[in-house]
Amino acid sequence: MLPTRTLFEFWGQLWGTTSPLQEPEGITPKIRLIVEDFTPSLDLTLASLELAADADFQREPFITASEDVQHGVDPVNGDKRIDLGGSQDNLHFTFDSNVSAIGKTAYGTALLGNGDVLLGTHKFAQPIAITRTKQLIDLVDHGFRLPTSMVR
Amino acid sequence: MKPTRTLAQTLASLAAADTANLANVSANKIALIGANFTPSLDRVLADLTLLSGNGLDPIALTAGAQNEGTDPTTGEAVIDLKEPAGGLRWETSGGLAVEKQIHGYALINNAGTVLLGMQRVDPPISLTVDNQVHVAPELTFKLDLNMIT
Repeated sequence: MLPTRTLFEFWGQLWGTTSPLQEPEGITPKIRLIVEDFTPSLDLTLASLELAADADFQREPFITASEDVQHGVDPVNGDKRIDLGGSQDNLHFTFDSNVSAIGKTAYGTALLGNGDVLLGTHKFAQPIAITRTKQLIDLVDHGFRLPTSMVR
Repeated sequence: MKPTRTLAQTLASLAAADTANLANVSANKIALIGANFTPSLDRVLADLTLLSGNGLDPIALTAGAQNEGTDPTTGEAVIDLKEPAGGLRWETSGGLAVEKQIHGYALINNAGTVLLGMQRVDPPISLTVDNQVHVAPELTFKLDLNMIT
């Protein structure tokens, strides 16, 4: 059965603004770098990913905040968008990398919810080698896309 | 971003339990669509010709949260609408004088003012006399969770 666009978009809104993607104030989903090659899949587990260590950075890299999950519709293709992070500052973050991070390669990101439960993964188009401290990795347009063609 | 299956599946479970729409306390209804149409996300109730009378009135589903699970063959998340006791069964009656055709099913709210979804019957089914029976197949929404990026 095909839903109406109104219903489909409401489903996306409901999903994006409900736990675990949006938690009560004070519980902040985190985005961490993945430093080993991987293939995004619905069935990935946290244990199958190698994340950058806390010690690799001077401050823990995270961008999303509970109040910052936003949703809307892509004007080009009608996809329902769930956008993580709501401010310019949150959409860019600098890895103040320590020496231990140098030599690692970032292949993508992992979204971790409450209790560090893996919620999703994103693979960069190109791996990013960490070669120095304070390296900027741009995470603009980070979130989920729900194409209207996914429902029938 | 590719969600985990656990997260993705919550899309269906939340939709199935959403009291504003599918799980409304006032049971939604299935109406028969009596004229040709093309299913579209942008279809509205006024676009459709719904059948009524002669035993063809909309039938109320079971109110509350709808069933939800995973298709074991395709892996799709499935929301299957809860049929009422007696099923989604229509039987022509009352002296059907003019041929009526079933072109599809419309999921509408209880008041019959909001279209929530639609499904086509192809080829259409002609009803020409009394005592003809039509039973709807299982009506579901299927969500391909693999398409979330």
